[in-house]
Amino acid sequence: MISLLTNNECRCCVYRFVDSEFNLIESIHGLMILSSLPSLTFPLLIENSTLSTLSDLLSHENVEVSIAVIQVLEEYLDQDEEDEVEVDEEVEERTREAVKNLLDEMVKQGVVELVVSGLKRFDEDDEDHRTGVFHTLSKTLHSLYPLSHSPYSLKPPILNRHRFD
Amino acid sequence: MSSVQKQVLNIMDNSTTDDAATGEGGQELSNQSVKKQLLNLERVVNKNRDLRTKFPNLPEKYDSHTLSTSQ
Repeated sequence: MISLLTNNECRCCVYRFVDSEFNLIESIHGLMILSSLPSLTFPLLIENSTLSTLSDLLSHENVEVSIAVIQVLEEYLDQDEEDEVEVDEEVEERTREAVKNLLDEMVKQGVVELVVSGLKRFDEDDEDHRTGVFHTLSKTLHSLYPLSHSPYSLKPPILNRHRFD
Repeated sequence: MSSVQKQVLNIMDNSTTDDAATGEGGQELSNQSVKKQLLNLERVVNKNRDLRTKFPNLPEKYDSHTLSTSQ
């Protein structure tokens, strides 16, 4: 791929670019830890317009970046199943409230539309991309669709993607 | 009770008394540390966007294979 570069784009710049891209994906994955304390972290995600940043990254040129974002958003929405342990009702209520607000903000940022349009970019022969499609389908759309009352037709892309299973 | 469950309970307990808790891997989650992490993300995103704008002809994706052959 290096040979595709024009002469004035030096190798050094390429390394900086590659570094930056890896850094970006790593930083996104680093956000996963925030799902362990929604009542603290989710309001901060909204306040600091991190959700807006993440939703922009859903249409990043590098599809690996989009997949990382989807994985993080999925982690955030996956709160219910971990609540089997008995916890303080007040804490549970605060967590629920935080998740709900985060969902509202996701809908506001157009995450549903961006995730759906992102589906078309995944190459189903690539294992990482298949994982991306799986993540997209399993949680993000499930959680967001009923809330968004979206007029967008979600079924066709989903049905198409089911075929490779 | 598994250690993971204990850890989850600890996180929940701490969150009611103060706004700090120990997350997975022992990493401290506090108002300040989270803000710092979010700011850092913005920095990384901006830097990446700058490089993308500067070198629009670079390939859309680099994977580990590309890296190992280019170094």
